[in-house]
Amino acid sequence: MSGRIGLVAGMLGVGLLLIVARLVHLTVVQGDTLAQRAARQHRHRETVTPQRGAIVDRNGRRLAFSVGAESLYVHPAKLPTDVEDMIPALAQHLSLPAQQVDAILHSSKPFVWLKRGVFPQEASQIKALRVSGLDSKSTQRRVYPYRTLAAPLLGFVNVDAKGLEGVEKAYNHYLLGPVSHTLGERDGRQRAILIRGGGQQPETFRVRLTLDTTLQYVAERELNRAVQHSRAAAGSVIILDPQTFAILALAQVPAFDPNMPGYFPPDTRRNRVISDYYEPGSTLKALLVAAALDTGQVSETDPIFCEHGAYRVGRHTIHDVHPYGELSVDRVLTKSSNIGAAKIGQLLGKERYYDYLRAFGLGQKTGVDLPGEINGNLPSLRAWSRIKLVTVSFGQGVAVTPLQLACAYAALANDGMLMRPYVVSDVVTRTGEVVHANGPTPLRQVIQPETARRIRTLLEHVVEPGGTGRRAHIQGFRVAGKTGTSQKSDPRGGYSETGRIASFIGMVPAEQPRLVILAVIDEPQTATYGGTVAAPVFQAIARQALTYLGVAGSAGEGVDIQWAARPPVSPAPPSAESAFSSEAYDAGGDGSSADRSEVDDFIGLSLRAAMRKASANGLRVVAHGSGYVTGQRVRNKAQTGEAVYELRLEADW
Amino acid sequence: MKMLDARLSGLFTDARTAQPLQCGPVDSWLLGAVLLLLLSGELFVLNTTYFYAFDRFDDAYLFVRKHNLALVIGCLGCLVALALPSTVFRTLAYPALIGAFVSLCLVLLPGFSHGNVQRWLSFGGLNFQPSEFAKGAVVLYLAYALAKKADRLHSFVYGLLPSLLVVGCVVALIALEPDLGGAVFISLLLAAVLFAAGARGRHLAVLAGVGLLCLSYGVLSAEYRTDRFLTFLDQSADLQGEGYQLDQSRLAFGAGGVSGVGLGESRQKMFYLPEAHTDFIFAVIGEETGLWGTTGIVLLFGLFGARGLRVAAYHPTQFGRLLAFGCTFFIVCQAGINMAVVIGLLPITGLPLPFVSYGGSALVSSLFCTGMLLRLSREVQLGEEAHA
Repeated sequence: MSGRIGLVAGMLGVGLLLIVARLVHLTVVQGDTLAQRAARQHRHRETVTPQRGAIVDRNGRRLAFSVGAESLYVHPAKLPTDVEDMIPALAQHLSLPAQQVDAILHSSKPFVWLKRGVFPQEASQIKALRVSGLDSKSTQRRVYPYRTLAAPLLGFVNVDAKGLEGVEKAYNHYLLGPVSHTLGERDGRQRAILIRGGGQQPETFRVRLTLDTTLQYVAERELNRAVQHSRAAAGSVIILDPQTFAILALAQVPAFDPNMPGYFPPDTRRNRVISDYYEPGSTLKALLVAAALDTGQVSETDPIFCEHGAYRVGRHTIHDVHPYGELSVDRVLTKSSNIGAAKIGQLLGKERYYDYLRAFGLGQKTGVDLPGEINGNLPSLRAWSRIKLVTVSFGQGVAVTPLQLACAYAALANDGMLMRPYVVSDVVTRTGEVVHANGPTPLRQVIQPETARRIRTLLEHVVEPGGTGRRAHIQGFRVAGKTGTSQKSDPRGGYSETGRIASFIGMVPAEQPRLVILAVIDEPQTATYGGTVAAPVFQAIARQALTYLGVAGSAGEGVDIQWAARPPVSPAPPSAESAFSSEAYDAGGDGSSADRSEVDDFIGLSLRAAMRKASANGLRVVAHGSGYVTGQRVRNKAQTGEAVYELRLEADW
Repeated sequence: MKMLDARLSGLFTDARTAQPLQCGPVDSWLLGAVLLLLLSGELFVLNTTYFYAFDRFDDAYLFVRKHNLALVIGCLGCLVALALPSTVFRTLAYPALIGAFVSLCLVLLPGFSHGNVQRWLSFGGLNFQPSEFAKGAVVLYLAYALAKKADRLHSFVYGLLPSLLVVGCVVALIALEPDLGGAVFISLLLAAVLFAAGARGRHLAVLAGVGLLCLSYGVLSAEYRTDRFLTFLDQSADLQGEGYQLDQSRLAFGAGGVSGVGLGESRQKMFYLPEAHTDFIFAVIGEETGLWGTTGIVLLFGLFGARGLRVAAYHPTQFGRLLAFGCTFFIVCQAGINMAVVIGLLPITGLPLPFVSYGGSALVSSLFCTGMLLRLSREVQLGEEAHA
């Protein structure tokens, strides 16, 4: 037996020796190759971004910032069998529909996001449920405490904290901060272990806007009120500092909430002030007259024959709403005569007019530091026929972005110097070091300073009693501005029958403007005139802005002590804390101004519409003039005591 | 202890000599090898289960506690075996065999098993693997049966057939679980003990032929086994599927190199290498302690084999010799197969590394066999050793 045992012992010995030989082969001969492969599969490299920088307004108020958050995910295959019972709890904690949670938990994929960017408190509630197969990854979430305020300018970010629109996109590089890499290892389930470096770094850069939150709030509130009142489709407002071309406010309606951009149509998320164009209409006449004055072709008092309301140019006839005989250049602007403008355009000549329009920045990007800006549409000189020169003279056949027009007027306000507009004043580090700064960037002297002063005087007349823009008048200040009403171009070509754009652009104080404000109301329903619909928006915003900024009233005008003493507005926007509460911050008005309109407000109506409304409500009216109702007053007849509404009708165009 | 031994020796004396067996000191080389292997097991079970248990059950020491419970039970069994004279082991042969049969049948019944394959029985939270218990029972039974029929072993029908039928049934039950690796290993154990007992070469050759036929059928009848076998033949193929585990195992040895990455520093155990705490624990030893560590483990099993076979050669009784041989072969051959699998010399079989792998049933079974072997080593006398 011991012989056989010896044999078995020998066999076992040989077997063990073979094992040792193979071990030597694996570790010594193949060792390096295998070790390298192993190291490669263990290596883990992850990009780490610091907390995304905040966007603050010019006073340091945080309009956008990031907070730590968790992204919850599930491995559906690893969920427990009784996960069905947890669906209602999960859906409730995450405020998701139960069906959606159900679908995620039953996904056939190995990895599904349950909800990304969940606040830590919410995430800890979910983790307390202790569902195996449900885990989270730390991330960050963007918070816009003022919700819709300045949303199109701020833009928004996607779930990966990448800026997609607005300042978030334009300054993504700074907001993102320096990207670093962690070097570590990962386990067989791709989870990072033994990380060196990394961890959530605080924000590196902070982007400071030229925007003023209070002005922005005022602009949005007044715009909203006007859009609601006139039942318009949309609207926008720009407030520009003409001395620097810094954008102080940029409002548009309808608005969106960048905290949840996915819930809003893409059209509302666009910054229409730079990505939409419209025909400026009569507001362009100021640039025409400025060019004509600058070249010396005309002077303020030169008479222009206005053909009594109908002027034939080739096969076309152009009309004024009110027929005029002879008007001075000054009055052409005040009365906004199309024929007068056409005549001035012809005096100036298309080459010079075109050059001036180019110099004012039409047909090219303003260069504002925001993404998505378009060129507008200034037809090339070759395309300027005789009639084209005539129509462009009163703002038809040319299209501008609201910002382009605001900049052109800001050049008038800034003694003829056009600059590049900007929304970001600087980018600073946490220690206050400025790493990027924008400032006034002069582009060119478009017109002589003297011409600019002269045109401002002309534009002041527009706002005076009798001018189309008198509703923009602010007691105690010299206001210069121009109304505009234009037909919307039809997507199918030509002009829309009903769609109008009412606008007003003005500057104040006229002697040395501090503010240029453009208000554009898109498709107002109750009235269509810029002087009726848009000028009051300008007036309301400018009045409050001047008070807020503490701008002294103009000499020779009675300063309204009431405003200067106690600001009627300065509505401090809701604080960051209250914005988190369920009460949505609503930039809209209180609606009180709309009450009166229901029965006896005729402002903005055509004569026919006014008559129809009067008879429907059993009111007596007396109409003066033609065009659209721009003023009304009630008089009681001495004999009967019956109320009579006196309407003043005017044409604006 | 001496008195107890003497009294027990008086009760159970060797059937043929009718003389009480003299009892000397335990084989310290054997004991030392076992203790060092148990220590490695403790170290590497902790090492390989720590993260897994924490990740899966939020309790890093869950597996270690279970392992230690089995260790305590196994050591108690070992001590009991050490205290009993080898003549007592004979009386355990049939009860153990019957127990093995019952548990192997139970595990196949629906409702008793635990897990996808029917390999475990559950008793109040403790899982018990009948096939591991059966290995020990078969060793004991073969030693008993073949010692009894020592003079009839030349006859196939009278000498071999009863043992063949009994062990064949055990093998068949294990193969049905299915646990082909376990079945093959018990067949190998049977062949080895038959060979050591003195069965005719002709008979063994025929048996080997039948065994190979059964094995080929077993491999070809299930797709995953065929895949494993093909993967073994071409180890560079299919690194994502069947070959993944083996590839990860090789990477562990490669990463460890000659000197190892250091205790506790294994990366491959972090969910790269499947079954890192059970069948593939040797790979983690290779990664952490390098060639020195793995060679040390091989040498410890070599020492165990040499000392165990020495007992098998010099024990005064035929039963003792066969039992010592069976126990030694059980441990060393299983260890050899496990290590050969992990380094890619044999196809994947599912055998644990005795004393080291996590797995309570195997540990208890191994420790009880070791206890019997240690007892037998005490009964080997220098004088007899000299003249045998």
